[in-house]
Amino acid sequence: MYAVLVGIIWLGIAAALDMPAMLKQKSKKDLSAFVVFGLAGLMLHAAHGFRLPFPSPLEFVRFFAIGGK
Amino acid sequence: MDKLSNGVITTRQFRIIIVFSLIGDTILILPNIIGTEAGDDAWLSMLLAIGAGMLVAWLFASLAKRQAGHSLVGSALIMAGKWAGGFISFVYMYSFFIMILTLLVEISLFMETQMMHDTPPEAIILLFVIVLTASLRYGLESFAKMSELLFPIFLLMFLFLSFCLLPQAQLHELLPIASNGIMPILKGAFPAFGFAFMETAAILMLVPNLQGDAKAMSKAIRNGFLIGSSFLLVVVFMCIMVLGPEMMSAQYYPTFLLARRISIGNFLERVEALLAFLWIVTVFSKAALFAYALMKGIGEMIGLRDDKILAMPLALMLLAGTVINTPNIANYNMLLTYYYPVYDVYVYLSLPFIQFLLLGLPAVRKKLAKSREEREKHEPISEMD
Amino acid sequence: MKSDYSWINAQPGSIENISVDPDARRLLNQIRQDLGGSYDLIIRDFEYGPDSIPEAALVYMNGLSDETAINPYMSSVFQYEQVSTLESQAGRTPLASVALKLLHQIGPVKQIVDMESLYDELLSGMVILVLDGSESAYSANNCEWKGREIAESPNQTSIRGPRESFTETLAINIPLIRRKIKDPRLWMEPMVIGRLSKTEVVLAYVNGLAKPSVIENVRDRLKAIDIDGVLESGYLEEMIADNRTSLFPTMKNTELPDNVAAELMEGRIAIMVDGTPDVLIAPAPFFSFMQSAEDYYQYAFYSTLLRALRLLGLFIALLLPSIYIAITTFHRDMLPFTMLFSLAAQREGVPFPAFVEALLMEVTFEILREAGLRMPRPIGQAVSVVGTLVIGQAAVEAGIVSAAMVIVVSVTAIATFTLPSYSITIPIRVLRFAFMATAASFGLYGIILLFLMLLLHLSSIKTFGEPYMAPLAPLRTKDAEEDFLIRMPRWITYRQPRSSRRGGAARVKIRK
Repeated sequence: MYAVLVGIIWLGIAAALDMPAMLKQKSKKDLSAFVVFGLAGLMLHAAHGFRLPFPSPLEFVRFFAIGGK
Repeated sequence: MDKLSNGVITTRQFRIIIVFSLIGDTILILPNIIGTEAGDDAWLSMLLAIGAGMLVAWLFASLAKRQAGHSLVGSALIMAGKWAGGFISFVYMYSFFIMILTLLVEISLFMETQMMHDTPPEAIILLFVIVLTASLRYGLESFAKMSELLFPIFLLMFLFLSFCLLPQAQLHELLPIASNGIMPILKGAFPAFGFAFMETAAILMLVPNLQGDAKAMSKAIRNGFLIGSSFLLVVVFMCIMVLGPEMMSAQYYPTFLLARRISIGNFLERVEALLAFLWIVTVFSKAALFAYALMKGIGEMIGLRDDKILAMPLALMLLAGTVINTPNIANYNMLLTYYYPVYDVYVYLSLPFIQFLLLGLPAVRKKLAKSREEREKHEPISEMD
Repeated sequence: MKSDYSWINAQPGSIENISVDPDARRLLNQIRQDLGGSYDLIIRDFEYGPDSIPEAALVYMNGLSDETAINPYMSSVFQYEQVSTLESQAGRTPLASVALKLLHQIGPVKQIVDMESLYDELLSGMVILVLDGSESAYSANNCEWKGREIAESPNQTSIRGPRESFTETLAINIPLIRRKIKDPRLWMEPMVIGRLSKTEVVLAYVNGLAKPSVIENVRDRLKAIDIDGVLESGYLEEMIADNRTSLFPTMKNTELPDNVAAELMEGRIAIMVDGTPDVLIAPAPFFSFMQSAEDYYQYAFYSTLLRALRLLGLFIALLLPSIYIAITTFHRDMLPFTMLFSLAAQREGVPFPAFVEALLMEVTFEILREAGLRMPRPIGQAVSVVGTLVIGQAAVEAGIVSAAMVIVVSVTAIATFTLPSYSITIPIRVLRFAFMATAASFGLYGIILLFLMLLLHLSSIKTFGEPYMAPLAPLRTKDAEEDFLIRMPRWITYRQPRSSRRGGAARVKIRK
């Protein structure tokens, strides 16, 4: 629960800081990138908050067994 | 993509950034791993790793030269086109991302177990991420200047701590040499090689922001690797000579134990706060470097005008990544020792090597040069500081 | 002519010139009306009598002009009028011609063709000669007013070195600097800023030493200021400073002419404002706030030690309370045993956690300090530091705070005073509280991280194009080695700091 709250506050601050500049410059790419990544982060937080089984990104490393030494 | 939006860094600052990220988290986690694998021959492992590391330095320097003023991602995109180049870049980006996650987890574990027992690890990570985001938003130039400021302090403290430990160093711990054969030494060298040297690849993303010619750049890389290695070597020696190989493998953070051992005139004890400062600086530097690399890389992949706006969303995702990945120290250690260095070889060694080869092709070279010309036409020459 | 003051609100340079009324009587009435029949407005006709048409008249402000020059002038005008052979030159009566010619007796003469200039000159202390039938008036420079004497500065004391400090009058301050730099390349660019105050501002620099880009930068920023009044250099500082959002000052201010001269010779720019003794110096990197001109008057070794001491003072002033809070709250195991016992004993009866204790003491001290500034002289000095100690002692005995805390706060306060420049203590004081709060929540880890954030912030500030943390970052060894911490003795030739244009040339050649 706190996770999502933190996420929302974080995004809120981010929006307050960056949105005016982006809107003024009307850069669509910047705005969409910001929104996409922001929402992605928020989703991840929500996923954790609702205890959805989500693999950690680090687990990807497991694919590499002790091949070398 | 405005290269100047992040600023210009001098070769000296570049070198210092390299030193700091080479030391990075290595100093935290390596002594335990290398002690476990190689015992009292850990110093030999380290030397071996340094030797291999200098080869990597040569590779990175040559790759940096071939990038012709573009970043790692930028040159990949130009070299292989949108789809293949995009795929390569994505691999890099993902690796950078999990690297930062790793660093965050490490610092939180370190703080959790050694200094701040009661604080929830999420809070520790949150604070770190806040400062990291601030660093991203202030820009690369500010980060470089900060590193330049910190280096003398770092050096002084490091030397101070080392000198304080000298009386307790026992040379005989270094012997016997290679009593268990060459295998343990190699086993110890491999993680060292990975953590310290291969993971420095992110510096290749900074190439566009460098002031100075290619020769200065190569020198900076080479010297940075050398200096960073010396720091690591000293620490490994100290760990063996003062703590002994058994303690090295027993503790998770031998360097901290080292600091606890320092006692001057019965009064200056418990200087581990000093040590905490040092390692927080290096871990932060490495994290910031990778964060810039990540931010910049994504910016280049998408074609953003100002990549700083990604700072906060990315920070949020990083926070999420760590929160999901609630670490358990034993599991994590195993992950690190056995899997991560191999992963490193793929992403931070083989991939750059392939890129190095491909960038040598004359057709690619022409494309790179042309793109650089075009970019320099549109941008003002940066002011020399 | 309507007195609608519309010309006051117009942008400079775009006013319609309301020209001087040729009819002297109407003009004089206009002036009386516009100034609202001011007490200090003096109009002296050369003719006397209610029916007479003044051929010429003098207008000036009492107190701004020197009356002792005017009476002899008028009598000589009357004298010469008698013997004058000037016949109706340019439609003027003999009286008018003589009055005009002899106006040079008073001071440099300027011709005035519009009302705005007339009022500017009049209110700056000039004497205005109004001639009937002429479309111009003439002003003579006759300013003389009472100002403060050149005295010792109450705020900046020096152990060795000149003590005279600036006063509020620009005309007195400028010569103080000229006497120190007798080179024609010392340029003083005048400017007028402020719609109502029309304050005279002078940009001083040594042409050839100061970087042209910086000069231009400063000049442009000053010219862009559109404000009602400039009463103090602080107004300007706020409006042209590089970073409005940061606490850290990017311009230095000083009251001592030798400081200014030293800075000018380093290639920096001084901004002098009429009406205040505080002179601004730009650009001002962080470490210039840690230096004072006096370092150069004492022995090199001693000055180096002092600078190191100041650096230490800076760290103490910033971090000591937070470190104390962090250690007593989070890291008690870091203290040696004996100290731990005594601390624990002290804190036995104290009801508050360390952070609240520290907060109480620090806020109390800040209150005392501010109050001490404004209290009448005899009491003021005693109140600040001693007062804290006394109150602290009482608080300790009452069991509200622990003795160690009083020591910490007092040492911190005194350390703040080692910094030579007042403007840098402001961010330090504010940040101290931030560090304390972070220490209370995250202990030493928090302090370290906040410190990193602080360094980051400092590294990002630029002062008029110069990086704030020069010469340390980016590292310019030539500047750093000679001026940052170690004050090199003069017999080692040293070079100009890179911030000035010449950069690299040897500044002093010693004949052996």
